[in-house]
Amino acid sequence: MTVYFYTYAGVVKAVENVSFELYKGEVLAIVGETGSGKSVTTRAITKLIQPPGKIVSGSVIYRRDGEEVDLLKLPEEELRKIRGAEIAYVFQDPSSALDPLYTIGYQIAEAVAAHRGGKIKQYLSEAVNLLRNVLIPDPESRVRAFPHQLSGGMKQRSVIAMAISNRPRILIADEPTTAVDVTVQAQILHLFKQLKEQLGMSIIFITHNMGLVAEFADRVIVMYGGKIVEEAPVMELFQNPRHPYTQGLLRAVINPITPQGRLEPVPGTIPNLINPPPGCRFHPRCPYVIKGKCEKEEPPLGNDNHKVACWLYT
Amino acid sequence: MRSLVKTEKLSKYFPVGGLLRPRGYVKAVDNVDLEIYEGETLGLVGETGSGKTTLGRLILKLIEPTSGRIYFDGEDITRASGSRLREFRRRAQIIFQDPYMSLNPRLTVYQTLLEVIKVHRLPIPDPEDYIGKMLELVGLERGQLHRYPHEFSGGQRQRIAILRALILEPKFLVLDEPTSALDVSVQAQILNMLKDLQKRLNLTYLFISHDIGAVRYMSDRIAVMYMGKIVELGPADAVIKEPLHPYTQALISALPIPDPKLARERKVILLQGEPSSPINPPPGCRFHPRCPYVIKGKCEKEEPPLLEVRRGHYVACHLYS
Repeated sequence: MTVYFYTYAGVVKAVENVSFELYKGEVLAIVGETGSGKSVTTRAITKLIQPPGKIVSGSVIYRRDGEEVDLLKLPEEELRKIRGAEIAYVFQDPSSALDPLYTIGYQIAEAVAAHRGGKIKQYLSEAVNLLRNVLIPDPESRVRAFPHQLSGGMKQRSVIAMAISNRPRILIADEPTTAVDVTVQAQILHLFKQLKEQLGMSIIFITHNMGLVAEFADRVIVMYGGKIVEEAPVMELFQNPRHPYTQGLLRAVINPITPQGRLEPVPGTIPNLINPPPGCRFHPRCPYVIKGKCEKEEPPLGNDNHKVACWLYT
Repeated sequence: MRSLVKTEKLSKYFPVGGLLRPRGYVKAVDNVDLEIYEGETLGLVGETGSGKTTLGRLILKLIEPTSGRIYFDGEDITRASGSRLREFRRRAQIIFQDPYMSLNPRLTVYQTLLEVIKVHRLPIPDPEDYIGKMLELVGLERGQLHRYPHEFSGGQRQRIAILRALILEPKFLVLDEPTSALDVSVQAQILNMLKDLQKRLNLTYLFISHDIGAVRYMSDRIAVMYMGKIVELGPADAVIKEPLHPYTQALISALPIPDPKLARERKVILLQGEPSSPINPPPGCRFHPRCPYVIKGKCEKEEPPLLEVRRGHYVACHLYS
């Protein structure tokens, strides 16, 4: 998959040649810093890319009922049936996902009606059940609440209720807890774990927080400058990080429980994606750069259980 | 240890609803006694609405307290004005969270910093040379002197904001979530720089953050706020390793830790619900509606005082009194 943004300043190569798989029932974490392409990649899965962005090439193979479809080739009509019903999203900011003029219950019922047909009103009682599912206290009265009457944590739970209303097979959660407090974050992660068991969903979990990856993921993809640089099972990634960027990222993360010495920041800043560095996009910041190689040729990602795109390992 | 900043029964209530006859008050900061020692970093943690930012601003006299007193360097500055206030402003500075908003986009770095020198009438004969030298202090180059904020990355802007505070040679800095808007790799750069500067310039920090990892990395002591009150205060290691207050215990247990093995083995204390409405806080201990160890007939009636239960480790909880 390749996604470019055509801006006045030039073509931003936000995501370039990214390939990965999501297995049934797993939590796949995608980590990366600002501008790494993690959100764009997952939005492109159901063509949620708006101009000036454009999916330049690629395919998204979705397997269901024994058949395979390429989501990017489906007509918009067909794709809309899948998006929201079979593949649902939860974004960072719950306030922008909710309409301030309608009650929570109405909005959840509307999401259900949009995919199952019929009148919105007939799904209001189902909305109560869904709110109960996401552990909102007193759902019978909350269903009549407007978004501004709820706290950030409650709003995010309502959005999650909306996302799971049609029992999706894939849930894409894009920094779902960045806007809430730590104690509420723990509640929401716990909720995701429960829902995953109950509904057997696969989850793509996008975050910049290595702590949350360690808590929650089965498998991890590390993105840098619009590319996947490493992919591994969670234990393997933390015990044996191979890409210099992943290693740097892990050294720069504070472990709040076990004290550590001085933090070692990754020097430099993230690359400009209008003119990304040639060769390996991390080479200007890399401590192990191989002269004559890294700045010229792009390293392949490899094909193991633990994939890494780095010339040190070839 | 000498205290540089001291508050006595400091409170700030914000009226809500109705201008002339308010419906109620948000007790953002309620009767806080706090000392910050010279040369230390005091970490102030708490969740949204706990009052940590309000407390930071009260101490800097950016807002007027409803009641209570503030001492700086032994001097009562609660009612300071005129030249005394100006002198205080020079010695106590603040760094805000968002470096995109705290710098004027129409001024170059040089103009921004020159303004500080002019406002405070600092006796500097060659400001351009001086500011150029100072840029190196925060890891920037002299050649970047005449650039505008948009030409810098988030981390570099935060460096400029830090320099703007340091140019006055202050003794005390309030760091209000200084790295929350930055990426992990850049956050580490800024935290390390703040540590180095503290040593070099003998600064005292109040480090406000919801990021407990960053607070622990920076702080000598940590204070935990919950709904306008300090519920726990102690040496950084003790507060993290042996938290006493049930709220702190839950908070620490809920921290995501970057170690998958440990993360899966330990037990997370899941709190019920969310903080109560700050408009009419619950009577007694403000944490009692969510507390797993609530003592019936006591916690919902009496407010627990902040008591020293171990050396230098204070907690406001009836379990310990």
